[in-house]
Amino acid sequence: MKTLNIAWRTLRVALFDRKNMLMMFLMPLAFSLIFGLLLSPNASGGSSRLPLAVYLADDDPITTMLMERLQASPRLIIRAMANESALQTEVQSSEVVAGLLLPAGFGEQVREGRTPTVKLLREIDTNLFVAAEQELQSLFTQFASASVTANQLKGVPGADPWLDIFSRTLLAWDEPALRVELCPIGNSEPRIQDGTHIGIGFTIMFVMMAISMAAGCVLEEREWGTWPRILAAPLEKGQLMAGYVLGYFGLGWFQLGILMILQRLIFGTEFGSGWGLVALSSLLILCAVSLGMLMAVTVKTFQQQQAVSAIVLNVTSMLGGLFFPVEMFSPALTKIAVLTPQFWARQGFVNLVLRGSNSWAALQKPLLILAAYSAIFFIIGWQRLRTSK
Amino acid sequence: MQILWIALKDLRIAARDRSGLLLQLAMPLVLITVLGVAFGGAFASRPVIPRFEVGVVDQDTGQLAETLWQILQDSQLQELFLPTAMEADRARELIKEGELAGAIVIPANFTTDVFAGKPTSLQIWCDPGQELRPIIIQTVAQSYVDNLLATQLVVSEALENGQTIAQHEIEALGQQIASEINKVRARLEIDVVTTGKQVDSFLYYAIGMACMFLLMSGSIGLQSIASEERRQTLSRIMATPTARVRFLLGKSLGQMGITVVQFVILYVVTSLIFKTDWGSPLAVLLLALAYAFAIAGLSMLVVALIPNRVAAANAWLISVQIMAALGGSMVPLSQFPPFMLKVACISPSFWGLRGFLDIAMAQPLPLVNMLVLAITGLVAITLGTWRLARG
Repeated sequence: MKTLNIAWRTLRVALFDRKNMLMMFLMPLAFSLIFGLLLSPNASGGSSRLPLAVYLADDDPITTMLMERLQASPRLIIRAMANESALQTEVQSSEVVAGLLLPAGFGEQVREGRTPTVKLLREIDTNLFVAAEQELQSLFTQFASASVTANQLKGVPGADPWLDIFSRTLLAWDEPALRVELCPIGNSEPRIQDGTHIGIGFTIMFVMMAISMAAGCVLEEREWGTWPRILAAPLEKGQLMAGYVLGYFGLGWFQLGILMILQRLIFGTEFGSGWGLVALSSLLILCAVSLGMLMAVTVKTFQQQQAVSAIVLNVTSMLGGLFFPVEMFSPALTKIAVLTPQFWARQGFVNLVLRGSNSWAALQKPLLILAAYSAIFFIIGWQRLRTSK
Repeated sequence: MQILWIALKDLRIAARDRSGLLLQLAMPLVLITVLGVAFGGAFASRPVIPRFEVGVVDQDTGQLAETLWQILQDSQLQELFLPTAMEADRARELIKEGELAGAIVIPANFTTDVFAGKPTSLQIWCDPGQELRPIIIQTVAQSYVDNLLATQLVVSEALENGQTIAQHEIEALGQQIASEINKVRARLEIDVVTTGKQVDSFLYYAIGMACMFLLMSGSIGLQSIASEERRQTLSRIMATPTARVRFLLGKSLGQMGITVVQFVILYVVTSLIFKTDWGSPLAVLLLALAYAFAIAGLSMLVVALIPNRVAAANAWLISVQIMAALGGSMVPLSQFPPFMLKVACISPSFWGLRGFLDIAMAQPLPLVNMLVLAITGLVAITLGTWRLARG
């Protein structure tokens, strides 16, 4: 009963703290939104089409066709430029990701089966041009195929005119008989949404951050002078600790629950359901609470606890692959990544949400490792609390 | 004189606050190290990711599977990933476990279907739990399929126009056409418009973290006013013959001093440890002063607008992180699509970071950035002081 009282009181104090609320809900959503817009490789929606400036040095049926196809590209927004210097200025002002310069004689070279050289201008401090480059390369393959086809039939009696064959071959690319089909292999229907990876990352990060930092409120009690009073109460230290843990555990579920609902409404991220989700979330929260408590009993003041939590959690979150995909990490860094609890929490959620695995086999490693971390943090924290006055 | 004393007092308090120093100096250094090491690859002129394994499941065993194998042996592709032949079941299993990013699957009868002009597709099995690798595999497969398709189009057009091609000729013709297409495909020359120094990941994050933590130190001014209020020293100061405006200016000056000192320490330490070359020291210092002035002004404005100082300090800390993310302190600005660069303009740390980057890249002095920051500071400080002096 005493334990429950403490838990309830802890929860209530935390819920009435406006800073906590901002930290718990506003930050993860703002971060998911910003990073989602920046990082998702093929985010849908008009805004993520990349602007490309194009300057055609001459007018020719073939360059016109190229322009039309560029304009039809779903990944690019084309801005036609009047001359070469306008193209340069546009690129320099970072208004576009790159500038395409189609030299005079391009059409003629294509027609004669020679190799045209085309310039792509880019600004030194951007590498978004890579996406535009890919698009252009595949367009050039199409043009080369059309040119080879038309030239193959040049002079064949009864064949259609050159330009007819050329444009017909180009058109055939719109309905290709050969495709590349991307098949995600999961255990159930894959539910891939743009930004799901990022949503998972920031949900984990901010649950850990908010809960560990909230757990530092124990230190505020010292500042307020209520701490000695609690200790003077007829209460076992074990009950006290259990009460705190339970309170912050409740707070963690409250935050995670609301975040999951908001992520689903705003970004369409499905976190799934079932025992796997409950177990994983509970262990994540437990890990955050025990880490926060450990830090609270290690340092002296509330400010220190907040500072140390922020540092430790920021660094481990980055290393754990919550900001950037672990795939980018070098082998050495990957070895460090697996040492962070965040890495395993992310693995668990990725298995659950993206791979659709809700089985013990798929989740046991993340679950056991998170449980082990919680236990270690808790035991060390408990030892320190027992020996403290 | 009073202004100076107040400023000096705040500087001394900040220097003695150990947890504050930890947050303002140690944390950026740790983050620069982590980010610099982790994302070195992202700063090459093209993003690099370490080599990984890709399964190749050949259910066709025809001519085209062989061609694909040859293409995958290409040295440039070998740097990207390591193709491994495997059975379908094994590939599926490995992908499900997250051990394999994906596999290229050549379906049964692929060669026959392609030569007969029947619709078919090359499958990429991929792990939905991975973000980047499946896209890379898909890109490579797409360029292979594009080449095939090009050949197929030539053949079908030739047939349509009355040429006769015997079945056994198609293969040889296909290879000839493929090489022809490669020959006439337009070459893309990539030119950098402005010349300058390349910024590596350590320098970028040294700048990025400096911008973020300088902004964060803006809360020191807020907290110092809050604590003067809590400890009742504010009313004592107000009882002395110190004009309210002078008190506020002193606080701003102290804030600015703290920010500048913090910057100089970060500048020196990163130059020594990471050997980062920030560019012309004078330009860097000028921009840092403008940035510190903007921060001091903004924190003063927040004090004026939010009467509850604790809430003000908290709101500041939270908006700092959002502004820093928008300003390019976390994801490099080179990844920002143009419309996000426009949104980023609302963040003071964007102006600072962009300016420091320009200096580091040996571009002309970023006067616009300095001006924007100085005006921000001036407007904010005027508004803030005016508001506080009235109330």
